[in-house]
Amino acid sequence: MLALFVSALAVAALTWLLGWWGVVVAALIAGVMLWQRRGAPWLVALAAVVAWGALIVVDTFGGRFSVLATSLAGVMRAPSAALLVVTLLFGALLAWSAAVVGSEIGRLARAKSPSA
Amino acid sequence: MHTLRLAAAVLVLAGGLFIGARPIGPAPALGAFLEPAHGVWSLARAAASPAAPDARVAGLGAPVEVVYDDRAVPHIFARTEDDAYRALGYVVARDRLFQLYAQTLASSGRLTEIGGAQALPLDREMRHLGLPRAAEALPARVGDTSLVARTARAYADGVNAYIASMPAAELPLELRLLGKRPPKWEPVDSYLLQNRMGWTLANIANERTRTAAAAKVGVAAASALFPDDSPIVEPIQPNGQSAPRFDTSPLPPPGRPDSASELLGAASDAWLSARQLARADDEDAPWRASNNWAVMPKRSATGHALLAGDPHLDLTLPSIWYEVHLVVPGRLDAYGVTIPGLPAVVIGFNRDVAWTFTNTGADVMDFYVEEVDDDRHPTRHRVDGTWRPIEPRVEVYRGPKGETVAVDTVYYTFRGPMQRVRDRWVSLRWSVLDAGREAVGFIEGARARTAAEFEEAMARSYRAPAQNMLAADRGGHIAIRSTGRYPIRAQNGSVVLDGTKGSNDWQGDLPVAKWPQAFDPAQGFLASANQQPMDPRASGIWFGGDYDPWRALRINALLRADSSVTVDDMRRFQTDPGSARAEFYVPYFLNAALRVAQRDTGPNRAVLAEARRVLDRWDRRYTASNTGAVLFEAALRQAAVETWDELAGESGTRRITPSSAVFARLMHDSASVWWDVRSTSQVEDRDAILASSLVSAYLAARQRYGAEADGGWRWSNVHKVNIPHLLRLPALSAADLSAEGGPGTLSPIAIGGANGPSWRMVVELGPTVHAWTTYPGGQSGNPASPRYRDRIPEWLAGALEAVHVPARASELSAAQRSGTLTLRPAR
Repeated sequence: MLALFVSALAVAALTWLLGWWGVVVAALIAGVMLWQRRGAPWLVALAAVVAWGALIVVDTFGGRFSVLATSLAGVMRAPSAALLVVTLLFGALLAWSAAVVGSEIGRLARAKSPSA
Repeated sequence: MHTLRLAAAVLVLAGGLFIGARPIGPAPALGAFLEPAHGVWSLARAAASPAAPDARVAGLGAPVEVVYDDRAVPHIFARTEDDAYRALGYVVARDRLFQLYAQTLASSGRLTEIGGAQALPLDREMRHLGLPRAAEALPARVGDTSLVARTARAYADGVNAYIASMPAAELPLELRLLGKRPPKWEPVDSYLLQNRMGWTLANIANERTRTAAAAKVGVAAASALFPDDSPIVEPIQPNGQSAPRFDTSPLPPPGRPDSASELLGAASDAWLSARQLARADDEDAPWRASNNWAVMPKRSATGHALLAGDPHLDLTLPSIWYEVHLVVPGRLDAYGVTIPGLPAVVIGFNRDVAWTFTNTGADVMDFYVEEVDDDRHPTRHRVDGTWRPIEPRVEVYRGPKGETVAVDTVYYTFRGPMQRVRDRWVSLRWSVLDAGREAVGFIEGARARTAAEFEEAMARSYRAPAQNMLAADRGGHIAIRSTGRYPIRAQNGSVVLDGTKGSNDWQGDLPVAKWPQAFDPAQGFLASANQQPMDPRASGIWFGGDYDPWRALRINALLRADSSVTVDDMRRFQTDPGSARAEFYVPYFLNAALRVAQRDTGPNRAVLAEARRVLDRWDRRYTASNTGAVLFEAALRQAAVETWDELAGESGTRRITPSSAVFARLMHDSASVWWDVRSTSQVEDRDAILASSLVSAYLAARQRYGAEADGGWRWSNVHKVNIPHLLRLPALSAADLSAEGGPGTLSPIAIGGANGPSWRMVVELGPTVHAWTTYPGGQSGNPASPRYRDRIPEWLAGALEAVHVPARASELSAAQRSGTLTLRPAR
């Protein structure tokens, strides 16, 4: 749970600082650090969903989110819920794949280290 | 398994990075678009809470305080005018950044950069007209240190300060969809916009239609069917008559086709894109319009001068207008609307004077057949036996990715751009291409203390496009002048001139004293609705005004009938559903139906009686619930089609239809040969055409809308307002709205419901100025903002909102404020 919380915090913070690349960077780092943990990439993907979901919640605070979502759905010719799902899915896929790559880097680094 | 998973992850990551960083087809790059901190979802955050309350602006001499009121109107309090225009650039960019971007692309002929090759015709139109070239040359023409250049630079400072400091969340939705960043704003962008307005308001329709008509019915008939002087005269400059004058003389019959003047039509068409041609030929084209009127204290209920204005333009979201208040103590205190991109309050008022415009429609475009040295690659043209240089200008059109879409060479004589027209080189002389000091007129006009001062300020600087400039002041004076450049010509501008003769060039400009104008008229009011500015009997000069005259007749009738006009009357008149056109025509239909019914015993007799009953019951007002307007409009349209069959082209060619004012002239001649339909064996007269049109219209309406009693004929079901988004995105547009008014009323809606009153303003010039305004849209360009389209309901209802006009920021109470912004000099 702590790993999920910390990962989500990292994804949210780095997204705020770096934009969408923040997810990739945060997931890579999380993957490297959690390489030994079973199912770590899925946890990082979930963290990305939580983080981006939280950022979207922040976007709703002004009360204009539904208007925006409706307009956007009209422009993109897709249901607004689908756009939200695509958003979260995009973040999750980036996070999962980057975390897998990060885990591999972590594993390789561990294998090459003298103490291994 | 491990390797497989890794390979899949690498593939997903590579794919995610690819679609995250690069646009695919029309879809934007998904990464920056979707991420919730700065991507498209963050626009919801930006819509709810304005940007940082402090910002730095390069060039500011002192801090500027901006207070947004409860209608989202920024009140700018600055110490110098330059600073006020810097702040104006900043606040406009903050609310309308995409509009600035889109307008610049449209004005400079660079829409291909977002629309690709399909936008090429629109871009070519701009560039072949020479509008971007004229804008680029403007600083040299007016002087780099002139007020025009200085103000444009100050405005650009403000726009660029916003762009530089713009929070990521505020990047407009449209720019995100297009995958673009806002470019730096240049002073030339303001000049481009000014030139584009000149094109928007140019008079192009009548000459080309007249020449097309001449090719079918001869010059004499064509000149009568498409006259310069309207058959119904009630000019802007009062002519001492208390009623309109109707020309009741018979129209000359159709004559032998004459194609000699077709070159003029072809020359006009050569500069127009297919879109402009379609607009010029649109059935609704005559209903594009604007109104303004003012009453003197002796005719107002409060004893103060009143002024009303409603310019009619294409309706868009966001609106062409942005409401603003500029205050520089002791120097400037102007409230009104600016066009995003123009450093000026275009229409508005200060504490002493109010002003508003309608389009004059002056003919300030002339064409010259040129003799060139090389037909394929001209380098010189001959005038009075001397060769003069031709300047080639290579126009490169870029696509969305910077690729070259097309390359043209546009050739310029000293007169203007040239085009190949029917194997000849024809150059265009146009007052808009020589203009440039219009902004000075707006800036100095905004400082005026009297209506006369305002008119003088505009007359000193303003040249194109000519406008009927109405002003009223606190001293109770009212004034109107058709301000613009009217070239003195050796011969009529309605022919293509011989470019080898210098004597055909403009010989100077008509002096201000000869312009149509009126100050404090005896009748106690002034009104313009694009009608002919001056009675042709008095002037002998054509100043423009080939719009249909019905709105002018209506507003003059309303003002004449009310010797104690209130502010609410002024508001009510702006959306008055009454129609001088219907008042004129309906009796003709009713009488024709009666007479034909007496002599005709055919199967349509019962239908004619029923149609007559519906029309007779109609109060001739275009109200939402009436059912007569549908029948009347269809009948009048059908009658015009049948009557003007001599002008009909082959299938697929454009229809040429004389104005309803010319049709009114024909009404006086019941046996004119024009009434006869050539394709029938019998000879029709006026009554036969009107009665059969009424029957056809009734049957068509019943087929389309059901029985009249069932409610399908309600005007609100038929007459719709459509306000498209600038990119024509339906989701960001407001469509299918119902409003009162119709063709020939003071509040017509034209061009597919997307052209109409773009701004409404009523000003009372008492000891303290009071004003009421609205426009169909909202202050914000962000579709998620509550201010994106919040004014549309009140606009549809014909309501106005009282505006705040604080002399100091502290005069706005907390309840009247919606935000503040302090602009400070950049460190």
